[in-house]
Amino acid sequence: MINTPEQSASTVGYVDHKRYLWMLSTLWPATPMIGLWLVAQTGWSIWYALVLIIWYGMVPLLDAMFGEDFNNPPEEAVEMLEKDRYYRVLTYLTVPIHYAALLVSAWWVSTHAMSWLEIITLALSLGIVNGLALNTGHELGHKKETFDRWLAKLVLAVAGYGHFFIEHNKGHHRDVATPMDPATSRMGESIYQFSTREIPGAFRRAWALEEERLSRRGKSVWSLENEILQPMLITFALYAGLLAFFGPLMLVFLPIQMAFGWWQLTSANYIEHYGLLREKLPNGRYEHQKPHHSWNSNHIVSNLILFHLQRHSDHHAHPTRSYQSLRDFKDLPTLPSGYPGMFFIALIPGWFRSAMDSRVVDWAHGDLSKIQIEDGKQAFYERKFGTVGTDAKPGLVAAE
Amino acid sequence: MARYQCPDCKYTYDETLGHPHEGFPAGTAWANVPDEWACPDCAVRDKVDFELIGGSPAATASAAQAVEVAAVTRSAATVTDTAVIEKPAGPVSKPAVRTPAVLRATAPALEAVQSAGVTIDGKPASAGCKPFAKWICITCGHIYDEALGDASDGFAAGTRFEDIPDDWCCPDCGATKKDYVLCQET
Repeated sequence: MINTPEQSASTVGYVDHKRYLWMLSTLWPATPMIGLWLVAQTGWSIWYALVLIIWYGMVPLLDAMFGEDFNNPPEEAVEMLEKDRYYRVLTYLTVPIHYAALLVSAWWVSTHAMSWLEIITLALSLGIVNGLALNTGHELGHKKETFDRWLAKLVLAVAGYGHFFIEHNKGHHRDVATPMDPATSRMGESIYQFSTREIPGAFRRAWALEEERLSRRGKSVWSLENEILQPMLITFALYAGLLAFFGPLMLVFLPIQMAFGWWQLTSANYIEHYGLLREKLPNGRYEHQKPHHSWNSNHIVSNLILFHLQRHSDHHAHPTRSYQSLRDFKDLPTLPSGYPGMFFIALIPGWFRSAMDSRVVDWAHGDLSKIQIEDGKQAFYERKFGTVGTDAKPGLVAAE
Repeated sequence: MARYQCPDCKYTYDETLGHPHEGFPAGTAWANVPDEWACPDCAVRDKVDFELIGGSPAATASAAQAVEVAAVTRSAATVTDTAVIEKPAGPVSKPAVRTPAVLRATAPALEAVQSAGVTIDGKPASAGCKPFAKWICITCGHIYDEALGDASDGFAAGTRFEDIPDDWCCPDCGATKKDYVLCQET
């Protein structure tokens, strides 16, 4: 069912003003190809860096200019939004664009005389887009239909990160904001330290989960039904094909663009739950995931190119909600900028900590025992913020 | 054969169908699903949070055990945030150990209602002269008590939940009115 906004409005009196703007999320992964076209038109090699300039430079500026969007769809409109195929089709269309970006860039590198700097710049630009492939795979992978889940595996294969599909849905969502989660960063942990814990930890957790599922079915983990091996085989076939067609330069180009794609995911995981901790209950379980266990960002421009990923609080509390229906809540822990800006400042650990640490402490109402702190940094933070705590519930401001 | 539902995303585990992809063939009793198994769709809730929504559980717990479970249920006098506890807790593999843990309140706000056995089943209270009901936010555990109202939001004591405007939001977490389910006194 694809509704026009007018039809939808007549049903529940609600018009989704962002409806057509979501196309930006679909089109933005095509940017490396636009960059190459500009190189061809002008001969200026700066355009190889087009994606990098937009992502780390322009989008943070636009986020600051256009600010935040606090609008929520009314609950009566959510069913209609969830049923409207238009929003889903946009995520489907994004998948071939990711393949095209990879193929066109690989073809360009192998057929044009480029300096090493230009090759690396293009690979990094493509790496950003690979991070978006993971974002597209994220949105599709949370859907219940087999078709969507297969598209998720297909698009994750572009970035060589097929295990994300298992790792994220069954691992990260279960363990988020607890010490068990390698994809939740601790206060005081730099992104570089975090990546050495997150990248291998995520793979190990995904593999263990898949091994457990297959063993219940009496199958070997090396079977073709292993949903980590399936996308991995697609990646092997794809990359081997590129190597065969475009030659040994791919041995340099492909690893760089892949690694930088992984780095985008690491950046996202790093900022999404920094320092946050769910309370442990007397029965030994952790309280279930609530909106205040994720950092939220309502920045409109970056949300529109990321399928609303930054409305992360509602996403973790209700992971099966589609991007178009995600809500903002009152009193959420909030990032000072959208993801692209935060990814950039995360590269400079001192800058990131000065922007975030006091926010984490405010979230916990000054009680450091309610924060996940990097090993060995406890004494430092006690000196800096004191140990005074309150009994207030983290992240929630009393109604009075 | 019984059906159990995830209180967050409404995924339903039907014992008749099992979940072959997850390694539970058709006919797998709920009791044989591991306790640490998380909802395959949202992973926000685990098996122990699921609600029995229909049918009778495939027999694994004996009648005597079921009675024992029910007894423990009443004496525990606490609730999970959304679990149904008025029914015998169904196929609980280790009733004496498991049940009290399951029944411990998970949201701080719930401590306020620990004094009485309380169940939550999402159904309206019995018709007729309706006693005041309590409604709980499934997102954060905030409780709206009709008897008390909510002075800070301008609802006098005795304001029925249905009389609160539909665009009212949870004062603690901002979830919508639809995110509330009924807490029914037993």
